Amino acid sequence: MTRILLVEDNELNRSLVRAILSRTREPVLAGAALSEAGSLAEARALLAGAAFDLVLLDMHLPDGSGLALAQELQSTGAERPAIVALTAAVLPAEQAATLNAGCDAFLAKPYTSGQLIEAIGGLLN
Amino acid sequence: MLPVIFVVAGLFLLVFVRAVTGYVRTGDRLHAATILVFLSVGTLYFLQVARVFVVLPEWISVAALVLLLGQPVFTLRLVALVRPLSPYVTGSWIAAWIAVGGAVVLTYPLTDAMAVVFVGYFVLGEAVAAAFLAGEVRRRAGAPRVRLSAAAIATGLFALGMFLAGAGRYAGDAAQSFAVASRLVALGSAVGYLVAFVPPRFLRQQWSARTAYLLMTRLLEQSTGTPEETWARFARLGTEAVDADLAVVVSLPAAGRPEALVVAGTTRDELEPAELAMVLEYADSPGPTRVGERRHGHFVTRVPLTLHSGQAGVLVLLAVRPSLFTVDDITLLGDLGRQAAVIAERSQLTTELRGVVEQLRAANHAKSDFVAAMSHELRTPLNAIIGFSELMRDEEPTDDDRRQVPTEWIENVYSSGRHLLGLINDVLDLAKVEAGRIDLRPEPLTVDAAVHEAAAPLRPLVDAKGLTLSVGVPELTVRADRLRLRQMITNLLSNAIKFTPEGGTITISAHDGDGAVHLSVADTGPGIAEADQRRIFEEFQQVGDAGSRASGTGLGLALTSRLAQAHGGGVEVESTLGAGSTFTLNLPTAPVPDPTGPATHGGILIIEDDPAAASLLRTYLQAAGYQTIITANGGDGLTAARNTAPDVILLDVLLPGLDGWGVLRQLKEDPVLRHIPVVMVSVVEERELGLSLGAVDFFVKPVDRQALLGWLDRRGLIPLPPGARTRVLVVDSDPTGRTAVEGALADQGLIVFTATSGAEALRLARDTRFDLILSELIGPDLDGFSLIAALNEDKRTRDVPVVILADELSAEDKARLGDRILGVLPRAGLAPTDLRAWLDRSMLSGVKQ
Repeated sequence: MTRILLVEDNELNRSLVRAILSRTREPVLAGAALSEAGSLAEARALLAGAAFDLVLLDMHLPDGSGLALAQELQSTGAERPAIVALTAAVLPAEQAATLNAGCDAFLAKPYTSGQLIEAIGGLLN
Repeated sequence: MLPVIFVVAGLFLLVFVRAVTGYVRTGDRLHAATILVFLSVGTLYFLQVARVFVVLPEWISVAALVLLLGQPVFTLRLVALVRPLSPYVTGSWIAAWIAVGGAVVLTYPLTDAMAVVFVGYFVLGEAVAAAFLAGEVRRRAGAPRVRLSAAAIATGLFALGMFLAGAGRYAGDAAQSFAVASRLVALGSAVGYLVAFVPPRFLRQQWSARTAYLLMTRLLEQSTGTPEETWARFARLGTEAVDADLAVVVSLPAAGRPEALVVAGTTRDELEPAELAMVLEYADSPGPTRVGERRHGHFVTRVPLTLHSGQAGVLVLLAVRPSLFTVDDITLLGDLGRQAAVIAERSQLTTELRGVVEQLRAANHAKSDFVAAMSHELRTPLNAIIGFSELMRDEEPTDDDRRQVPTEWIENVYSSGRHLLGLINDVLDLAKVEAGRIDLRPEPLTVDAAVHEAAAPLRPLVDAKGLTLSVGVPELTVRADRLRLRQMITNLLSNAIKFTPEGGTITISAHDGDGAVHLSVADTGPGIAEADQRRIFEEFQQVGDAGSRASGTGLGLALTSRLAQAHGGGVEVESTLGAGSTFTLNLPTAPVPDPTGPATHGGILIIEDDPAAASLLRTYLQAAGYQTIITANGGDGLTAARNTAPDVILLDVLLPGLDGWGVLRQLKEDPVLRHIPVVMVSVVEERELGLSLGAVDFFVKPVDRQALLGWLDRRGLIPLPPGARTRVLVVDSDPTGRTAVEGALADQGLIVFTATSGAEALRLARDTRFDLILSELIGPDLDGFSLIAALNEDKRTRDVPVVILADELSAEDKARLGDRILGVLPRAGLAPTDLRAWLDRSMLSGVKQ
């Protein structure tokens, strides 16, 4: 079973990801389990307790930048989950910083459901 | 032998003349002392020349010898001027002079023994003087050092000359050679003294040039730093250039006391209070500059300067020892001071420019940060809107092209849209406040009413979280813009609701003091860390947990704080982590209306000293239904304007005391009163002047009744005397809404007519004169735009004010309706008191909302 962790502080956007994932017909995501965290602290707690295949990571979080978590995950080694950065920061420099920090894909808000599924599917397949 | 006598005497005469002219030029005591040193030996040589031509009586030769014996004493006196010398030294040589001189007088012509005593006395005295001078050389630097060395050598040479002259007596055939040698040595000594104490121009120039070069190089070495640092460097260089102990740069402001800018010294950088007082007094004292004036144990010299700010200043040099510097040094320091001023000015400019650059850089940063934050804040709700609507679009439509989607999605799109709107409104408000373009209409407002007005719409949120909202506000009045006051209270209150956990308490209280009302909103939320307390007033700086953050725009506190500042107040926060927060809104207090005085709200203020003219205006206005207040002079008029917030002021030009122009100026300078339109009234037409000073119109006496009333009418000022039966037409196709509005208005004692269609409304409006038409914009049988167009076509209905019943108008609609409508009134959730207050305000002040 695919396990996905969503780290996003905005409740509406969490709800959106939830809805997109529940409606998708992408085979890889069939029956995927989604866990949600509203802050870096919550995300760290969840990551410590379970193994995830993929993290959807918002960059702008109340207790810091998602970049920090991406770097932490990258330093843990090869077994880390794939990371999709979700961010409202759209400047090229910011995008480069996200990818340098170890994110595997980058989605600028506002993203479409197609883009989200494509990014997740591409990494999980 | 003879030619030598002539040449030496001639050269001595030249040196002597040079010393005397030097003294006459500068009045320097050193010059005087130098002349005395030359005088004795010069006289001797002059007498030798005279003896070639005439036979001189013996007593003249005796007198010349006695005078020559004074030479060591004169030399010691000169030494005493450049270094401290015990009076016993000079005293004992004076005693020796008297003793040896007496012996010479008694035993003339000189015996061999006497000659030995004579020369011994001489050589010893000169040697002592030379030793003292040589000792002083080591303490000095630069040109003074050169000059003191020359003086020491000159004194030594003089001793040698005397020794040679004495030795000549025993030289037999070589006596002639000894006499010539002694004279040449004496001449060399005289030149030495001249160099030391009356340096010729070319030497002075050379020294000055060298000193100037060295000083300038060192002054320019470092051209950064504050102006004070430049002056300190200049002062320090000044002490070295002229061998002073302390240098003080004093500024002499045109108005005000002299002030020591910097103090620099060789051993200390500060002055004793008594010294400071002396320096300041000396710096500011009139009269020409002298070198080394003696004041309070110091030798002081001042050099006039022009400081960097163009201000007059003085460099005061203090020395414990008499100074050797000359007028040229003062000129040099003056020139150096001009360079220092240029450097100081430049460094000041650089400092200022650096500050400006820093500010611009910070502003640029802030702007970039704001844009980045704004982009983020816009994208977050847009993400939800686009994402959910995309999901809806992707749902399979049913046969009749409808889709079934979860209500939550629709709710999410809706609330994201509302959030976006709130964000954009806040950003626009913020931009308006920052640009100073926010249109505030301050009026006396009751705090209690404002709090309830703001709290009512938030009640559902309070109840939903099970919070206790306790409001205890005493009867206080603030001067504020009604809408903005509500906005500020709403922001603080919704913040408190947001951060207070379920079951918590929010307390709103108020008190007054220091001319301000302090309205506090206290919550039992998590509190704000001290470090964050300043940050929360900045844009997009949200603190706290994620759930709470998501629901705000991050601009509420920034906006509230700016709005409060625009009102002349502010917002403060007091908070302890874990113990809740208290936000206090401070706003200027408004005077509590005097119940016996004139009515507090609205009306027309007439400032007119002629009772007949005032009474005539009042008659016109009252007959038309306006409330009036009359004051007979400008001062009372200004007070009345402050206390009653009139809608219009009619202002006479000719008034006792402060005239109408003065009153107008004061009105326009007052941040609160400047918004009140002022109409000038005078016997002489001075429209241009009136308008240029801020009046909105000008009426010439006698004022034409129709013109005045027409003017007021055009301004949208509708008379609303107390108790008048105002006729209002409500046009609303929705029966529920219509009944609600009708009920609310009827409760206020208004006569209410209703219509359900545009055609019906038009018919009624043509038959009956209405004071106000309240109409919805678009209904099944109604097009508000057509209705207004039709009303405009008929002269009976053209002037009737129209208010649109709507929650919100689009910018496009607003633009289309333009000034024809008086405002927009929200239909839903309208309490009767709100409606009445709104009508009062809009109709009386002609607010175009």
